[in-house]
This record gives sequence, C-alpha cells and structure tokens, in this order.
Amino acid sequence: MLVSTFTLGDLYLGIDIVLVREINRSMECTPVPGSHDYIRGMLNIRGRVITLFDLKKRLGWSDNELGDGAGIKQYNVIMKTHSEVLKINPSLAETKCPWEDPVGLAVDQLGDVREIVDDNILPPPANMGGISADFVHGVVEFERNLLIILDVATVLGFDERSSG
Amino acid sequence: MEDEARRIAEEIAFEYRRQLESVRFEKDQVKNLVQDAIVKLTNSFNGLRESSDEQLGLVTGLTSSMQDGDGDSDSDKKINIRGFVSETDKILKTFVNHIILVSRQSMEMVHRIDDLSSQMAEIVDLLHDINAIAEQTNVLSLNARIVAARAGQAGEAFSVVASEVRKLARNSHEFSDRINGVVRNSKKNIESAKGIVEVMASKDMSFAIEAKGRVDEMMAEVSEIDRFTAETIHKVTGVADQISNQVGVAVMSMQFEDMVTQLSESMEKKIHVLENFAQAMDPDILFGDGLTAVDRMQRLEQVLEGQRAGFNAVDRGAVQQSSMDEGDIELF
Repeated sequence: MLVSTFTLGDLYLGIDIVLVREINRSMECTPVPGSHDYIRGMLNIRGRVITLFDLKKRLGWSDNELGDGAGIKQYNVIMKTHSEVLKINPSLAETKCPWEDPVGLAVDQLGDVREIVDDNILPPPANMGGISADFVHGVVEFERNLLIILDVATVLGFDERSSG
Repeated sequence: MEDEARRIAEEIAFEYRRQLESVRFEKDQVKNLVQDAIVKLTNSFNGLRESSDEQLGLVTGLTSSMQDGDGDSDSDKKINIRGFVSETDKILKTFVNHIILVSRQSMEMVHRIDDLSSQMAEIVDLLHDINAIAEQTNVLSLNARIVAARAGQAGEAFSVVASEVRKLARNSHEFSDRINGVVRNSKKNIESAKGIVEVMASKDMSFAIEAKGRVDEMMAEVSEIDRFTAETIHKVTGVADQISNQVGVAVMSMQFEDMVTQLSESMEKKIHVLENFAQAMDPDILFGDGLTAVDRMQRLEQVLEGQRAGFNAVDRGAVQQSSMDEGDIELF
C-alpha cells in the first residue's frame, strides 16, 4: 500500500494514502469553545468545514514534549470521509474509515509517499516512546527509521476493535 | 803726602771702574732676562691668539651650520637643525594629510559595506521566497500523489510526474539552502570587514592628529633650543673677538724689548764713556810733579774737552720715552 508520511517531533508517522484527501500548509483556524484540548479548531477549506485535531495533544504529549511549537510551521493532513473512501475502496472504508465528518490532523513536516509491502508491517512493540500502542496500526522498519503507521480511527476516537 | 793722595785717587779710580763693570754686568743680566721672558711671553700670546682664532673658527662654523639653511649657502646640501625641523614638519603634514584621506576613504568604504550588507539581506529575503515556492511545489506534488492514488492503476503515470515534481522542489530547496549558507558566511565576513574598516577610520585619524600635535610641540622646543644655541654662539663669538683684541694688545706691548735693548745699548755707551773718562783722568794731572796749578787747570780743561764730544754723543739718540703708554706706534 501507499503511505503518506510526515513527522511529529522525532516520530516518523504514516497514513494510508487512500484515507488522505489533501494536504495544506497550516492556516488560521477558529477555536471551538468547550471542546477537547486536542481539537485545535474549525477550518473552512473551499466551503467545507473541517475539524482540525492537534495530533501531538491527541497523543497525550506534555507541554515539555510539545516544545515551543508555536514557531514551527505545520501542515494539515485533511482526511477523506467514510463516503468518499467508500467510492474508491469499500472494504477499506468499512474497516478503517468509520468517520463521516470531515477532519484534519496537524503535523510538523511532510515526508515522501512510501510504498509499503503489507507483509512487512509489524505489530507495534510493547514500549514505544511518544505514542500509545492503541493509536498504532503497525510499524515498518524503513531506512533505519521506524515508520509508525497510524490507526486513524482510534486517533479520531473510534474504537475499531470494540466496534468491529 | 803726594804719594798718599795718588794712591787714594788710584783706589777711587779702581773702585769706580769696578762698580761700572758691575753695573754693566747687571745691565746685561736685565737685558737677557727681559729678552728671554719676552720671547716666551710672545710665543705664549701668539699661541693664545691662534687658539682663540681656531676656537672662533669652530664656533663660526657651528653657527653657520645651524642658521643658514635657505639655499643661499652654496651648493652644499648639509642638513642643519632649522632645515631639519622644517623638513620634518613638511613630511609630517603630508603624512597626516594622507592618513586623513585614507580615513575619509575608509568611512566611504563603511557606507559601501553597509549598502552591500543590506543587499545581502535582500538576497536572503529572495531565497526565502524561493524556499516558499519550493515548499508550495512540494505540497502540490504530494496532493498530486494523493489524487493519483485515488485513480488507482490509471493514476500511475501521473504519480511518477508528481514524484518528479517533488524531487525538483526538494532540489531547489537544497539549492537555496546552500546559497543561503554562502550568503550568511559572506555577510559575516562583510560585518567583520566593516568592523575593521570602522576601527581603521576612527582610530587612525585621532592617532595621526595626536601625533601631529605632539611633533608640533617638539618642533617648537627644538626651535627654541636652536634659537638659544645661536644666541649663545653669537655671544661666544663676541668673547672670542675680545680675547683676540686683548691678545693683540698684549703682543704689541711685548715690543718694549726694543726699548729695553735700546736703553741697554745707551747704558753701555754711557758706561763706556764713563770708563774713558776715568782713564783720561790721569792722577798725574792732579798729583804729577813739576806742574803748576795753571798747568793742571789747563790739562783738566783739555781732558774735559776731550771727553765732552763723547758725553754729547751719548746724550743724544737714547730712547726718549719714559713709558709704554705714550706713542706706542712710534715703536715700530
């Protein structure tokens, strides 16, 4: 499968490219009062209102680990919705993409698009710094880096295992 | 009785001659002593005069070497103190003017470097723009990949194009980063050059002006010393002239030797006359037998007459002067 990669601090992360709708440079967003602290706010992209997740905060990083992220330019990875994925890959839509609302994830740096052989994907190791195993679909050793493939559904709050 | 008188007369004549002889001897002694002394004194005074002249010559040479430096003194290019002072002053002025010029140019250079520095900043801004474009291209290529992925097999070719575009974006980013590094180094070098030139521009001028002031003071002091020395030398010249004059007078006065010699000769003649007279005064005239008083008178008269010519000759021709002060010029 093709994986769109990016970095979050020192972490090298990837998302199945079919789940990705588009990538933007980070822009002004409107905060949502009363929401979780990992909800950065609402974005309007070409008429669609998108809920933007602060991925670092979602992964439970402390303020220390967040660093002075204010100065770093970030990117928004906008996800496809369930119905959009359904048109391309129905099985994927059923297993990996339960969300219907348009959402996005704020990440640090963009990486390449990587071709991953499914057999090379390993289950997440027991102790992994910076990210809970619940959020990880699997890991791939890649050019001496560990590419962590995110389980987007869990990240967005859908407990895949309990539902499916 | 007569014999006794004759004996006494002879004794008187003898004593008279003896004393005359003694007078002659002492006169010669005086003459010799005076001659010796005169010779020595004359030599000594002449030596003194020569030394004084030599001294005067030296001092005069010194004075001329200090004073005339304005080219009127022949062809010799000897540096004297006054010339040295003015020459140094001239050189120093040129030197200071050059330094002030360099300093002014340094300030100009500082402005130019400032311009250069701001142009460098512009280049950095432009590079940021290039980076922004590269970044946009990168995002664009990723989105292209995403769209290609949606098309599945059909999007394969498009995907290749998209990844090539992404490579280009990355290359241009690297390129602009390298340029940025070079520009940053250049900027650093320019800043340090600016610092150096600034120090040069501000420091050199003040140093040169300070040095000029100090040298001006020194020149004034040297001039003062020069003036004082010239004045002293002038005085020394005056004193040397006086010495020379006085030595001249002294040497001139040494000519009294002539007078002494003349007087001595005159004395010799007088002694001679007296000796002749004593010889002519034969005791027989006074005490001889068979002579009448008239005869004796006549004989005495004859002797006196015989000697009178000698006496008269001796009275004339002797030195008329009684002191050196009167008519010293007539001596020569």
